[in-house]
Amino acid sequence: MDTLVHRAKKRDKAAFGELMRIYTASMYKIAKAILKNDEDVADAIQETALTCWEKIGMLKKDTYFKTWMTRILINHCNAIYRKRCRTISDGILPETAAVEADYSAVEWREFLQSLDEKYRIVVMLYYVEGFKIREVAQILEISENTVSTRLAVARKKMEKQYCQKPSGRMRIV
Amino acid sequence: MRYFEDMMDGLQKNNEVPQMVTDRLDAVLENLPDCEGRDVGFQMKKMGSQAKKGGKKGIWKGAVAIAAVFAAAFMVCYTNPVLASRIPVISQIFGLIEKGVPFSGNYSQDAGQPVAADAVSDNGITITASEVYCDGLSVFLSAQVDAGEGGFAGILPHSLKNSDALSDALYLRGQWKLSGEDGYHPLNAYFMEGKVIDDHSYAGMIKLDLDSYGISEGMLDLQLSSIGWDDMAAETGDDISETCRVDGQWNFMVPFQSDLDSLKELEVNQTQNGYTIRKVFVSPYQVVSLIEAPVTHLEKEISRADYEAKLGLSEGEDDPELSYEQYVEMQTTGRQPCETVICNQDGELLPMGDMSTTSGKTTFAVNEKELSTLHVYVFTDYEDYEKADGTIDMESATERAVVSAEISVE
Repeated sequence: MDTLVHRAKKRDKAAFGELMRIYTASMYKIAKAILKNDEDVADAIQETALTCWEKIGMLKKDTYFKTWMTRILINHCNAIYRKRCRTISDGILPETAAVEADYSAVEWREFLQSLDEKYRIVVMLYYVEGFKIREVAQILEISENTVSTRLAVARKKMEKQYCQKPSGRMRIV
Repeated sequence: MRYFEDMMDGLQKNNEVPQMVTDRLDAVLENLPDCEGRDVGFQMKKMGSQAKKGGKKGIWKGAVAIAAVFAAAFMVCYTNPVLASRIPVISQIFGLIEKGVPFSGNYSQDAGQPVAADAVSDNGITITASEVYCDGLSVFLSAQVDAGEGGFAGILPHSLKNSDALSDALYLRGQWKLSGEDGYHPLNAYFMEGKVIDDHSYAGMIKLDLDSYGISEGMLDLQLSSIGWDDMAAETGDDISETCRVDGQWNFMVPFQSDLDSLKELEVNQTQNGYTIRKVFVSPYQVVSLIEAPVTHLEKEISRADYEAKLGLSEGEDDPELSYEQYVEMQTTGRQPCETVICNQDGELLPMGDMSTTSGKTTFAVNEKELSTLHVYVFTDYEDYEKADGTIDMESATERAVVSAEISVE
């Protein structure tokens, strides 16, 4: 991976393209945690790719590429989210149907969507994307304590919602 | 709460990205601009490399000119880079770079003295000395370097030992001395460490090691004759050392006072196996050890003709400072090679700076570590004892060192 980053920094378009494709799924999951609409997610990912291409020469350490890219992605997502909030209220935009592997995945995603955005994004970054607390703090530009607190709150919220279902299957409260 | 982890496992496995998202990304990747930014509008332009590989003297290589401004809280931005006189000067460079240099520390808090010196310009390069600090062992001088033609954005940063920090380095050539000293110390591709501000500005510091320790004040006479740097865009990727270089003349006279309150001179005088740990100096930024290794004599023939040729003497003439006999003694006498390693009470290794086998002096960076005790080890067959966490196995080191010492710093 570091080799691809190194080549991308030397303006190798093929290497940069490969890098972006490797991280597409990761970017999608993170962007979807903030923006519910796939159109907006696609916009955010496009903007992120262009920004990364423009600024990759300034990336100091190759191993920090994913963290750096994720921060750029979240900035773009937040910008799109703020623009949407000013023009269209939530719930009106039609959501593109996602192809789900199985029903349980739908349930888990619905649970995630039930969280406030600030908890949802730390859960995605930490549990799903595997970033360390320090890296999550860097990406979101918040303190590590705040990250830990939000993770703990997210777990408690989900535990509370999950435990309200006597059958063991999840339902949104 | 296993179901939480199960939930996350489920999300991790499910990575189906809608085709529309993939198609939109592909459309961008297949049409990447040739490094023209949308917001910044920067362009990369190769100005033409004129120097051959290895032929660097006196040649200005504007290999890449990039007009780019990147902002951060501490950065200086300006709109007219061509006129060096209008470039704002950063007044507190120590604070800007002190954590990202090999001998990192709190220079700004230790009251680096501002330098009341004018900016010196030559050949499109302006150097403005900013602050000076002396810990009794070295003089640290911070400066801003501005290049009218630009090119700093291409500098390849290098990693620092035992640190995540990266430093942008310039190479300096010239000479320096303290007023009152007889001769100048040469600067041959000497590192200036610091940070690129933008394509036209660089902030960094030079560390100049003193011959005599503990002087209370002095006047630094610094004469620079060239500024160089590595350009990552250089064609010959395997030889990018100092691919850009500007020759000129930039002279400075900088008075300073030493911060001797924080300097400790610790007598050790520990001898074992013919090796002696003589003494150790400790400042907030560095530790200097003085080691004496056993003297060795080389079986080497040094003829009178060799001596006269080397010193540029006529036949039968002796140099008034160094006789033929003294010259032979100097060429055939040496010290056993050895390596000194120092760690603190927690086994944390201090990164080595410079080492001199002739003087027995080795310099180590403190990098803001707690130093209550120093463990000094001298090896003749040093292996890499350093563990992944930057510490050393002290028990093993003590067994294998030819001499070792535990020194209280407090």
